[in-house]
Amino acid sequence: MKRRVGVVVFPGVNCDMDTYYVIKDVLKGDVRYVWHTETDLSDLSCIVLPGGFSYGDYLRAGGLAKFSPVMREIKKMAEKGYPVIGICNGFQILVEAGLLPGAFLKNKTLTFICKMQYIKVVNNTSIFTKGYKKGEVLRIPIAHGEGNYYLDGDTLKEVLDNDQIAFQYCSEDGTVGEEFNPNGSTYHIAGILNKNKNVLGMMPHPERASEMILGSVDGAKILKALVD
Amino acid sequence: MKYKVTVFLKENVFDPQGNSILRVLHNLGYNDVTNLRVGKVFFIETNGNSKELIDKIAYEILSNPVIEKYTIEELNG
Repeated sequence: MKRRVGVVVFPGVNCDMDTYYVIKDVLKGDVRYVWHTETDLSDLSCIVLPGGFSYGDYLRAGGLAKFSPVMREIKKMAEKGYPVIGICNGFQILVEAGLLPGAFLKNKTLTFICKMQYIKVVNNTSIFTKGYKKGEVLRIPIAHGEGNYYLDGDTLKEVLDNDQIAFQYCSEDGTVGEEFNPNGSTYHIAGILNKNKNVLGMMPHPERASEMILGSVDGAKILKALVD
Repeated sequence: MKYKVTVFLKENVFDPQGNSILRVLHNLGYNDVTNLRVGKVFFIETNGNSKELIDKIAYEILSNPVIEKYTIEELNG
């Protein structure tokens, strides 16, 4: 079934056009922008919350965007099983909205980190990750100041029991450890799924790793899954 | 009424900002400072007495209950 992707635009996001471009021109998918006040998403079969700084990151990253009218509709779609992916700030919004567990703290370095990063595929059974092998190492850029993903002990156990971890930060050869964790995230988590595996949040930017001219195409399959 | 809401990280949540400031203080020789945590303060004005409303706002909007707690203070005048 051909899908139609909605790229949600909140005031202050800045990866909306990159994401739209990759889905439309690189992956040849059907896509439209969704303004954050929209309430009719009935023409869409999946949703991307792109990266950026919604509401200027005021209060907390994603802390104000979660109250935008479009979020009520996205929650309904997620509950019905439609694929929803949040990239970077989109991930922060999904967490604030309660669609994914946990919360975000400032990076352990206190610096904004913008670099190429290795991540490892942990769960490859979701719609977003099924194109990868379990344990496969991907090169995808990160760019964030508040990417220190926090889970308390009980929630981490629940997440592990349900196999919800999509990606972990790692080294080039796939080693996971403190020295390869750029921001201090709990359990080196770079991407996480909801229990039903139809909602994915990830800090790395797959839209910035979908064309060889940008140095990597490792992220393309994640977005391609929304198009086919 | 005027209210002051203070939002701060729960004790068991690591505070990277507070930790960095503490390290600087120690580098400057203020070794009697043993702990420092960063929080946010909100000053809110309302019509009438609305402590319940402030509590709802503090819980649902100003704080993230996963990682943060808050206190509410009524201010005179």
